[in-house]
Amino acid sequence: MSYSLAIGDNVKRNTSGATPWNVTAEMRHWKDSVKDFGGFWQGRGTYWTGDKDPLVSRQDAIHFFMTRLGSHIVRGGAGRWEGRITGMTLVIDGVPYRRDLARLINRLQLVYTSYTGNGCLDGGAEISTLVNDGGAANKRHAEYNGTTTFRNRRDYPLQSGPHVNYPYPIMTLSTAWSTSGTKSIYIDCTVCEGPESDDSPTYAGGVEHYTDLTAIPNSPYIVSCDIKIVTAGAYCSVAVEDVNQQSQGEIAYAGPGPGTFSVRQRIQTRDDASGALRVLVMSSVATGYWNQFYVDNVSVREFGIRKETPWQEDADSIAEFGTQEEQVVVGGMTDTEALDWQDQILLAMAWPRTFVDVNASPAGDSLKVECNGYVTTLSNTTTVTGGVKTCSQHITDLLLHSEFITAGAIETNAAEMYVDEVDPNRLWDSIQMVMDRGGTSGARYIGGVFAGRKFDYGPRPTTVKYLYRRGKFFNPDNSEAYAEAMAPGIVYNDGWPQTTPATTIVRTSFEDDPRYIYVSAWEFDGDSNTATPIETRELLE
Amino acid sequence: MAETLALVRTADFQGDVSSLSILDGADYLNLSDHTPAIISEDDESAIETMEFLVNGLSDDDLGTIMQAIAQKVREVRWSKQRAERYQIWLRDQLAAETNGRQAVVKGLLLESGGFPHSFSVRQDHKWRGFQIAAERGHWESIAALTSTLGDISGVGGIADNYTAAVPGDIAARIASFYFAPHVGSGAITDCWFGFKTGRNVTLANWTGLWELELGTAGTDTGVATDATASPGGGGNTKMRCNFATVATMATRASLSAYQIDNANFADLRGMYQIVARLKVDSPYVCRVRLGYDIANAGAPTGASATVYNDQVTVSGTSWYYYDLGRVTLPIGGPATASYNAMRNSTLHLQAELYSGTQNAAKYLHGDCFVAIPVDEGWGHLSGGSGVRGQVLVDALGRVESFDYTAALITGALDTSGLSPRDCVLPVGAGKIIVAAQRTTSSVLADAIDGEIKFFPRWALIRGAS
Repeated sequence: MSYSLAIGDNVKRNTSGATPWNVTAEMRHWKDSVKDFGGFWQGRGTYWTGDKDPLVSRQDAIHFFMTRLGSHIVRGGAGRWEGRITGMTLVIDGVPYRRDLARLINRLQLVYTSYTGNGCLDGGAEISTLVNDGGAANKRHAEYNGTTTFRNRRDYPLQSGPHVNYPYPIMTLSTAWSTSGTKSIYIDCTVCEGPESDDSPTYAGGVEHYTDLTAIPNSPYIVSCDIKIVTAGAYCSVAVEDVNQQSQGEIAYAGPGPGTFSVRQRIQTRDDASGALRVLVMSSVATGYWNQFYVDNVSVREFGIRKETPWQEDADSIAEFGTQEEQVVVGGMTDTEALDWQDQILLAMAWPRTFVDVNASPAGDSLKVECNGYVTTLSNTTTVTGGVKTCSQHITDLLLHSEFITAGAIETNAAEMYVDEVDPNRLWDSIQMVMDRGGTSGARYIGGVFAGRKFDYGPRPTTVKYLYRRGKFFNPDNSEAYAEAMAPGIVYNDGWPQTTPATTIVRTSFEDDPRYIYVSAWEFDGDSNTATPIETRELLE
Repeated sequence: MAETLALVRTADFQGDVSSLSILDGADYLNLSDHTPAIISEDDESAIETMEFLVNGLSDDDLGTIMQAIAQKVREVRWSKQRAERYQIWLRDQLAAETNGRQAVVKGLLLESGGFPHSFSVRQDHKWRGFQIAAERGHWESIAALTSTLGDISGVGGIADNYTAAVPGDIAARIASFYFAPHVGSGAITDCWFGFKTGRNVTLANWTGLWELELGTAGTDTGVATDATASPGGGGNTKMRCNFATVATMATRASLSAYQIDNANFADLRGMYQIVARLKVDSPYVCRVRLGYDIANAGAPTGASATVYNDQVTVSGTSWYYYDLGRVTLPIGGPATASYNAMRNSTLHLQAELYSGTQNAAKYLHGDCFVAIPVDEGWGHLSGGSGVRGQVLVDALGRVESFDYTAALITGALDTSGLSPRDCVLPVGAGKIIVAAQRTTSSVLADAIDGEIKFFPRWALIRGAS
């Protein structure tokens, strides 16, 4: 007796799952596996063994490599295995080429931080030349660093009428302290203290940072600056104005001095905000307004809004391979940029690419084929189906969202659980969580995709499925187990050495007894017509 | 035919395209040494080497033969291309052997042995020591034999002596098998077939149509008449289960070898794929599985544990075949192959009401098991239009299938149930059993016609067979 192996067109077109192309002879060294969490799991074989292959020509191998990705594949025999071809490595003339579905994305949504303008303003004081220094002689001046402007400012009384000659704070460049580059703006408000005839002392002042960031009404921004206050007990206020000197948002304070302060303030612009935004760092109340302080690293940034692009897809690719969706979280960008990037990713990833597999170390020319059971398609899409339900109802509901798989035998499991219904989860992740949940009284549940792309879910077997004797597996009736039809279950090691007197095993289940092993996965080897246990599972593993 | 050793270009059911003698110098090649290989039934190929004296009349003759051999190497390489029709065969017949045989060449390597500037070449145009190594398959008959199948019931129909005893000492390769509905039958799209010889049974006593009504009714189950049920055993009767008391998985019918045939139960020995003819009443959906153990009247005997195969879902309201997996009789393997083990080897049809409201007047119906023997040659084909389905297995083991619509090939069949290693006819006299059905139903009156073209095979010498 032998197994059979046949392939058919992609089940997206070949909905009956017909497999008219028999490749039993051509696909050498076939192996496939089955797992308790997943069902039909992986398969692999070699379709071409190089130019001396007696069955397959080089041309046929190349044709297979180019056309068979995604093809339905069925292994027959005493039992059945089904899946689809998900990867191939063709080594030809010593060069390994690879195609696979793992990198494929044909439905895409970008999650990004939306910015509309320049959100990263340089407020450093790296100015090469100091033009003026303020004081009585220079009422007001500005320093430029090419993109930004710092100007000294007197807050009160206004520079008009009898106060027109009132002094302004002296503004100088300083290398004594900085947090960005080597220079900062030094503000000396002590010069503002002078004789007033009709006013209380000048309300000192400070510095204005003129940005080139055009205010967007009702938008969030982050204002930041670093301040070193020299004067003991002094404070500085940090505020934002628009071009009309309308205050935008809350004022933040740094102080009391002496000390170094980093101000980070989130503001929301007013609905009438217009023009470029300005940041004001001013002396503030406490011991007086005649402060001395340094300012550096002033910036206003758009806060950015979390946005999602609409789902975009490549319908032709979906028709060929099924939906393989991805929600990609990226950084800050404009809306247009996000859409363009989405286009670019889809264009690059919606169809399998052939690439040279530099990690492969080919022993000779060949075409190796890798397959996955359809359970892996459950990882290709997300869902927000969840809430609090019984486990079996969760499984039933989740499977309704699968593109390839339908519910088979879903055994009732009345245990309830919560499955996230807010944040999208991969279908397979949600289903696995439900299976991990188990049932009441410690009952464990398993499930997977089997023949006809049906998902079966039910309690994990608690009785002995196979006996192990001298390298072979037998059914409980002592007949040799069919290698092509092995299923996860409990194996009793019938060859376990006995002790005299017999050892008493204290146990509550088979698995507490060292002679029993729960085999959660088997691999069938077509060459030797044997099955090998390849995994044992702990709870929640 | 005279003594022959030649490389022949030909194909199944085709005449020879060309032939190059490598025996007696007719084509300048004189066989001087030969290491023949013997391939067992379980192996696919072996390599044998031959050494020659290349005996030309001139040096140009040496060139001619070298080019002819090189052409064979190329033709072997072509033969693995899907578009290529022909293969190269090593054809052999001893001087006094009645019949010839041939083996497909899967690989051909040349070794110069001597050298062309040797004394013998310069003196006599004789090149000594030239060798070839050929990887070949089993020896086969040069011509195919044909067995015609006519009017075999799709419900476990059996044809006795479907051909004169198959010659050979290795199971014959079925190069072509086709099935088509017999006159009056519907479109047959699904066909299991298996062969049984008298290897370990008395063939005349063997049957693979196992009527469920001969067995013991299980929970909520009873025997009922049904004109659409197989007439064997207890007549047109069946088992039916209404799940009145137990809806969960339970044994609904048990059938021992003794109950199948209380006189010749020992002649049921073998390994089988069990296809069950089942249906449900709407809106039942049932899960069904096969259990087996050594039991007496439905109850397991002694320490024999019951083994269960995978479940299948039964939701169709028409009779249909469901593959319930594999079982070997006697159950328990060789260690329990006693008289009683065979007698009490028992199959259990287990079922649960998976969905649909239980109703005393609604049933899961079970007609019969068709036991397809899988240890001597078998296959399963499906799909197609149901007019005529054909499968070809070439000497390299490659499978091709055709779906005929009338005289035209319009598609292919699903061959996932057919292994080229199992698509063989056992040596000797035998029976064929068939389970055949339409796309969605098994109809009692349906039968198939068909044809098997096969090449008997030998390990070494064919002789007069």
